[in-house]
Amino acid sequence: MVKIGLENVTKIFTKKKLENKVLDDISFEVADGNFFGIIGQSGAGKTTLLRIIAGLEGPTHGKVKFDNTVVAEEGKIKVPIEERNIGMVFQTWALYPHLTSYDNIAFPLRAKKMDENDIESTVLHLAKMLGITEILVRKPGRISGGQQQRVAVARALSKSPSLLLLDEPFSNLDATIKDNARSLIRTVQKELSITAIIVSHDPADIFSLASDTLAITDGRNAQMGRTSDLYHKPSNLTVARSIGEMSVIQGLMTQGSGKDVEVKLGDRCKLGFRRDELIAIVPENNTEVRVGFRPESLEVLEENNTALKGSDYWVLIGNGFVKICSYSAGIFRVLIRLDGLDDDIAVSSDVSIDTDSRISLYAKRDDLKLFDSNGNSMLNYSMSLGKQGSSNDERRRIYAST
Amino acid sequence: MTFLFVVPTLFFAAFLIYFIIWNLYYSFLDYSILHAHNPPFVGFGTYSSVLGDPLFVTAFGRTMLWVVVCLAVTNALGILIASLIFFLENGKLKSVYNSLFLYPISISLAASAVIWTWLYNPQEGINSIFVALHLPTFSGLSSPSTSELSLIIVSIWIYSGLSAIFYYSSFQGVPSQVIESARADAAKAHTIVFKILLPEAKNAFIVATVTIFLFVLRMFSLPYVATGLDPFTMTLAEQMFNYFTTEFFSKASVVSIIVVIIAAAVIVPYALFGVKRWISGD
Amino acid sequence: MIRPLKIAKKTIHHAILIILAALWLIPVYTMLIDGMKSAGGVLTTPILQPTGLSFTPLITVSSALELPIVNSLILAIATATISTFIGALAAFYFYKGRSWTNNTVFVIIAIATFIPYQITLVPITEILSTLGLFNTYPGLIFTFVIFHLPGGALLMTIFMSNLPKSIVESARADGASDWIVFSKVAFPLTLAGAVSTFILTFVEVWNNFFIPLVLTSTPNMYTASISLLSYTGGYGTLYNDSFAAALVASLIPLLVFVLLGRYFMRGFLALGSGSKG
Repeated sequence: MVKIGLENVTKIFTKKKLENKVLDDISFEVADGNFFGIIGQSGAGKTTLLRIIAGLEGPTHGKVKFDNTVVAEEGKIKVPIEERNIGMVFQTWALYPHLTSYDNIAFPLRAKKMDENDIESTVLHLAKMLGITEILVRKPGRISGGQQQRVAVARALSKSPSLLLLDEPFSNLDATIKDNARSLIRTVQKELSITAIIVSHDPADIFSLASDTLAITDGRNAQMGRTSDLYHKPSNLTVARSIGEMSVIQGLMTQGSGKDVEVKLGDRCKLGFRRDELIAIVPENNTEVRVGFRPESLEVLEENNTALKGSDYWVLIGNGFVKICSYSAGIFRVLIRLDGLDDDIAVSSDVSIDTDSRISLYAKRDDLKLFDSNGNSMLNYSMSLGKQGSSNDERRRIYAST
Repeated sequence: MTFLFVVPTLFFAAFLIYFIIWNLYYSFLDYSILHAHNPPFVGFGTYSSVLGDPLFVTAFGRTMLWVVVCLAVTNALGILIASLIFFLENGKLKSVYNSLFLYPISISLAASAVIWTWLYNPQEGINSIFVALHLPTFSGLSSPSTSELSLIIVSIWIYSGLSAIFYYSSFQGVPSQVIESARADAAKAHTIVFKILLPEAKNAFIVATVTIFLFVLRMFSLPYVATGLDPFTMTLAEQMFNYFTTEFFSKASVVSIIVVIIAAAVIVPYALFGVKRWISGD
Repeated sequence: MIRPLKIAKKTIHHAILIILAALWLIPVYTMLIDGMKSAGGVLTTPILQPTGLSFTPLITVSSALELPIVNSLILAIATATISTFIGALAAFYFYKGRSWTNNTVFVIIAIATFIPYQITLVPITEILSTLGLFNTYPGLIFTFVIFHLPGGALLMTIFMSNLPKSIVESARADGASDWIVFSKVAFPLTLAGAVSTFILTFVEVWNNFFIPLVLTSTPNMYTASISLLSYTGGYGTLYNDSFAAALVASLIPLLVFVLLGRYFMRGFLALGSGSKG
């Protein structure tokens, strides 16, 4: 219903004469009806960004546009929040504790002085859609967290806003009901074809809802694009880590034979890269680099198991032992310590592996990420993209054969 | 537009500021029964005649003595009462005792003055017990040597409970695990009070001291109702009223300005210190 | 070996508290027993000794204090209502913004809260005389509001600062104007604080002696505390009337304290230590 545009938005907070630049030159556009994600670690500036879009703060520099209207510019809020027609769901939900769920949802409509009959039909319709009809007479203190969140969503939607803003809306929910809540929001957003922006530090929120995502680091645009691209083709290590788990091993890059370069990890492992797989030409020998692994692109075998030797996909990273093996939602998370290395590596595994058992660690070659010592990606993703990801079936077959 | 919300408050506050300026202006004139119209400008003349007035000097000294004694005793009693209540086990009893010591503040000073005047009565009051026990009697309000002390005692009765709840609430702010682990270490009650509770009660001390200081500084109705404008119990506020009723208006203004200066010396740092805690919501 | 020592300590602990509390209660005790003592009892027993019940002093005093009590009620309720409400409006202003201007205004108001009210004796008398408001309800209420509004604003600001920012922001996102945010969200959610502010102001105005002493001139405008001046006990007066008068004049603030003491205490604590207690 509305297209959102940010142009060179910068926000500086001044406290006791100290300037703190929380947002630095952020520009992006959210197309009408799109679901846009903003991800970043806490303190990265993502909530400030959302507040600027909402109109709770003004940008110190830059412009915010709703369709073609400039709503804020250079420190001035031109259209205040109450006139932007937005629905907002806060991290704490911010329900009015003295009002019933019904009155909470009706609040924005009463502020518009809508006719009570119309209010009733709107509230009941939304309540039905969100499954909270039974608790409409209760106050927020007397309903569950999940219900409170739905009331907050209903309240945000009741005045048919043209933009829905969600600030960490799931972080106060139990893990078990988060997915239900996410799917509900997804359905409602699609049904109403409303433009939506979600801010979260949790990749699960972003993956489940946002088609496009902006990753911000220290107030800067670190990467923007399709959400899956942020995961598979991170432009730097911070983005890679904010959108999913990534383990890192320090390595040394040297001139390989012919047009190749080699990355040495520990004493046993050498990874070869073609020159055209890299963005820049490596200037000299023995450059420090970091190799990143997603947990699902690693495989653990018993030590000296040779099932993956000679595979086109898999390379041996090294031998080591299992530090700990924990469990979450059908997947085992195994922490590995390789011989001669100081960093722990996280691997997801379909089966439990005993702590302290000796293992060999293999990685899917085409899923490796390579970063320079500043954490910037060195890979030319367009060249290696074709080989990204091999199927789960294959992985299982390989493991079963050991 | 939000500014409109504070306009009514500013309207009334403006009067308060106007009053202070008015006083300041008239303190440099000689506005009195002698010059009811067109009072002449006398510079600091009125100030020097007030400062040279033995009635004012004694009232000033008496008020300061009152402040010092009342603060010392109410703080000490406040700590004692708060500690005694703090170590009670029954929560209901705690709040009953807190209210019991605080209730005098809800009674008017005038009513307290009426009651205590009778309690200090040489024959009928508390003295009747001393007489029955063949103990020396307390001359109370009837003798100039004890009348001020008698009134100070009443003010202590009024304000100790207030000081106690300030201390009590700061004691309650100490995490209960800290107290419990001290008890597990077999610490004695007085050790807990002096080593754990009181070091955390700096705030309570400041708040109790400032609040009670300001109450005593404007002390008027207790001595006024108990003894009238008696030279042996007269306070600063009474002296100001005395100048007013005898129509030495500029002298009353001079006393006002002196009171404002003393009060401001305490209030300004206190308000600056308080702002952060008072509006800590962000 | 430990037990008897512990019991002894506990006994001493309770004994000290009971003795102190008994001392503190002497004035209430005397108000009750002596306010209901017959004239004969007064002549035969000292103040601390109870004797037979008589309602005569209470009845006599009540009829004399009827008008002053009505006056006190009018002044206290009007002042407390105005100060709490206008104070709440100001609190909303302070809540919304954090600029140096409103911090300055706030500090001025905090200072105004604690300025001894006697200092304005002369100018207020002159102003009210000029406006013809001397010795009238509007004049008295106006004066009381000048002195109690800063305190009301300060207290309400303290209480309102506990309101989560996100609730007010969400009301704004819901399209509510400042007035709606205040009247439908901020004020209802600080109602307990408003009750504390109202009660504290009510009791302070009820008990104020100086302002009605200076600004009233006829007995029909006297307040309850001013009326006590005629019960201080001169030569030959009976003390039962004095105690009955003190009791009648203190009854309403005492009842407020007993019934709503929680709010009363919270008000004092907030003024002292801020909203976090």
